[in-house]
Amino acid sequence: MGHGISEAIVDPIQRPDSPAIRLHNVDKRFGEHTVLDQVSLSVDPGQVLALIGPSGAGKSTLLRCINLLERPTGGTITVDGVTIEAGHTVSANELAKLRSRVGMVFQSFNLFPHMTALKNIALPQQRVLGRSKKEAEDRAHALLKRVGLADKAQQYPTRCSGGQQQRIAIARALALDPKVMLFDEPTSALDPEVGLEVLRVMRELADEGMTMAVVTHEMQFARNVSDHLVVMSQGRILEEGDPRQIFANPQQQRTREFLRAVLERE
Amino acid sequence: MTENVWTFVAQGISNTIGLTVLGFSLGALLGIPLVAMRFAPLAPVRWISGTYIQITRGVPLVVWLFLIYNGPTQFDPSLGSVFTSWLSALLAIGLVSGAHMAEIYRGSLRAVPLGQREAGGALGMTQVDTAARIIAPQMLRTAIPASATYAIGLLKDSSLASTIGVFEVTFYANTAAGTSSSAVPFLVAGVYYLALTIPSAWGARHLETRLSRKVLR
Repeated sequence: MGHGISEAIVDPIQRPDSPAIRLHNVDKRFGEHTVLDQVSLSVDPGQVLALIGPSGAGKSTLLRCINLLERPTGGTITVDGVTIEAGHTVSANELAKLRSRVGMVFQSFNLFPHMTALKNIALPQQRVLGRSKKEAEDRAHALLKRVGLADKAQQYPTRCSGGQQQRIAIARALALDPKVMLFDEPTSALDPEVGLEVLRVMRELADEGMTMAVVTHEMQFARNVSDHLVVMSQGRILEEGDPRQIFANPQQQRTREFLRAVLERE
Repeated sequence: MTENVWTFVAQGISNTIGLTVLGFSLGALLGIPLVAMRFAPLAPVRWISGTYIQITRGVPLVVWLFLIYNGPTQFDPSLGSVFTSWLSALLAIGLVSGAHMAEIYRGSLRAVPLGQREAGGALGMTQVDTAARIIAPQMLRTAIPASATYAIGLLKDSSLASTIGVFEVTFYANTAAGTSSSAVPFLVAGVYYLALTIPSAWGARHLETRLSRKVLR
């Protein structure tokens, strides 16, 4: 890794109908091993994309390529008009430009354990957007209220349940006013019951028109909330389209096997 | 005589404390570039730091004391005025504790989950910001108790500086013992060391509980 990324160019002419996320022929290889093989997809503004598939399919890697936590070895990534091409070095400035547009929620929450919930949400605003402490904390309070955790502002993350921590993490990402939100298995580390409170917040976010890309094993969410479903296997897109249609009538044998396995479990 | 021994040996206390505090500070500072080099992208840089740490930690402190005190004057006797007992002892303790501190830093860096760095990056924070505000405070949580334990060990190890003539507690005890043919001065030295180490250990424990209470994980 490390090498192999390009210059970000801000597209001066942003057509209103241009996709919020566009991946073109994205490759990710570790030596001989191919994790992503020429993956292309696009997400329109306000759309919710769900990425499903067996583990090891490359879903998380693909998601992490969108904000360059993972550096692709080939292809092009465009987020809200900022384009990164694999094959050149990306400058810190360009990386910041891309990441300012993308919020990310991790499976393991990754809240900062040495800060209160409030500080977790306020500090990045101060450091990244240059907001004043007052401004940042006002916003943090508002977002905590929005995710139903107004009373947790002064609490340290470890004093909160997993579901609460994940909602704080969502608030932290939203505080930076991202154009796109990425969710990497946001409920996989949670009890099914606790996961529901997180899914409820995500559904609200989707209803408000946030552009989202979600790697998930929650088939209900994929079927009922997402607008576009992508099924991945072995680093490739197996099938994509309307979620209800794919769930009702999968075209590929591998998709059928996967859906049968996960749906029978539910 | 007994009362004299107490005051006589006490003359070394300031040097014992000075050598420990300065030597440890030197090591704590030196450890920072050393641990940074251990994670450098260039392999030769990592090797230099790794080799330094191996060699410094693999040779006893008392041997370093003799090497630094006697070595330079071998080549140029006038260097004896530069490498005095005190400076040689300070350098030896500083260089050795630098290697130990680098290892302590490395361990506490490993204890911070990778996800913390990723979260900082994904939020758009700069690498410097992430290091200073996210990683470092969490490192300190484990590095401070380990460093305190090491510093207390160093306080006792500083007695080795008596072998090259630094006027610290053990040096005075040894001198008094030589003139009086009695072991009492060493008993006195032992009491002084305890008077220094016990409160330090208590302080370190207190600090550790405070740190772990603040950030449970």
